[in-house]
Amino acid sequence: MTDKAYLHELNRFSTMSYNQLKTRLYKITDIEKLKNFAEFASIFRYKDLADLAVEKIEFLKGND
Amino acid sequence: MTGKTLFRQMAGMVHPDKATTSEHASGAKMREVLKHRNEPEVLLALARKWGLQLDGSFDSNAFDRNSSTFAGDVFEAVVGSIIKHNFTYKKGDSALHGVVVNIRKITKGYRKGAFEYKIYDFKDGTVWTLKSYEKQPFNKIVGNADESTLKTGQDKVDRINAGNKAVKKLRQDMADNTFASIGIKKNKSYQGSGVHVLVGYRGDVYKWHELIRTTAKSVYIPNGYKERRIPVGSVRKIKLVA
Repeated sequence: MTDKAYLHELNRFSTMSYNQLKTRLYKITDIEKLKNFAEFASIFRYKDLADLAVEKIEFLKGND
Repeated sequence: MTGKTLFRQMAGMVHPDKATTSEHASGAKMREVLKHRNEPEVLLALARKWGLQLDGSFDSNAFDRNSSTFAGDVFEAVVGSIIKHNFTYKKGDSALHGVVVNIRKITKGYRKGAFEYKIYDFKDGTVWTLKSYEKQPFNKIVGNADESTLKTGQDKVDRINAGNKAVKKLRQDMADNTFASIGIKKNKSYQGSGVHVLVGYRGDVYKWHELIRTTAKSVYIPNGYKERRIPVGSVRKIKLVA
C-alpha cells in the first residue's frame, strides 16, 4: 500500500463513528486493509475493535 | 480620623524619649510604628496587641478610603486586610467582601511589575485574584481580619494550589507516557534528523510533518516560514525518512 493510500485510509477512519467502524470491520475481507484497521483502532484507542480485527485476520488466514 | 493623627498619637506613647511618662516606650515598638506609618489598619492592630489606651476616636477599625476625611492619605492593603471591592461584572450585585490572603509581585510575562492579590471571600468561601499595577486596587479597606479568618483563607488558597499542582503533574505524566510510547524524547531538537510525525490536529487531515523540536508537553512542526506547536497527545506515529 502506498503512503498516499495509507493516509487516505487513516483519514477515512478518523472521521467515522464507533458504530460505522464496526459495520466497516464486518465488510472488509482484504487482509492488508484489516491490518491497517487494527493499527488505526489501536492508535485511536478502540481496543475492542483492534482485537476483533486481529481475530478476523487469524480466521481468514486459517481458511486459506 | 486620619492615619496621620493615629500615627502621631501612637508615636507619642511608644517613643523611647517618653520612658518617664509612658510604660509602652521602647525602641523596637517605635520602629514598628514608623514602618507602618501609612497603614492605619496595621497601626490599630499593633495598638490592640500592646494594649495602648488610644483616644476614643480610634475605637472603630472601619476605614473608608473614599471618605472625605481620608483625602491625601495613602492606604495600602496588607496581608490580613479586610477589603470591599465592587466586582459587579463577576459577582452580580454583591460586592467582593473578603480578606487579603497573599500579595505577590508578578516577575514575568506581559503583566510584569504588577501586583497579584489573592482574596478569600468569607461570605461564600470563594477565592478571587485581582491583578493591578496600583498598590491599592480596592474600593475600600474596611478593617483587619482576626487570625482564624486569615488562617481559613490561607488553607483554602493552599488547597486550590495543591489541586492545580496535582492537575499539572497529571498532564505531565500523560505527556511523558505518550513520548515514551511513540518513541521520541522531550526537550530535544530534531532539526535535520529526518524524523517525521503523523499529526491530525484540530480538524486537519492526517499528514506526515517534519519534526523540528520537542518541549515538555509539545512537538513543533514547520508552518510556512514559522513553526507550529502541537500537543504531543495529537501525535499518532513517527517515521524516519532518510
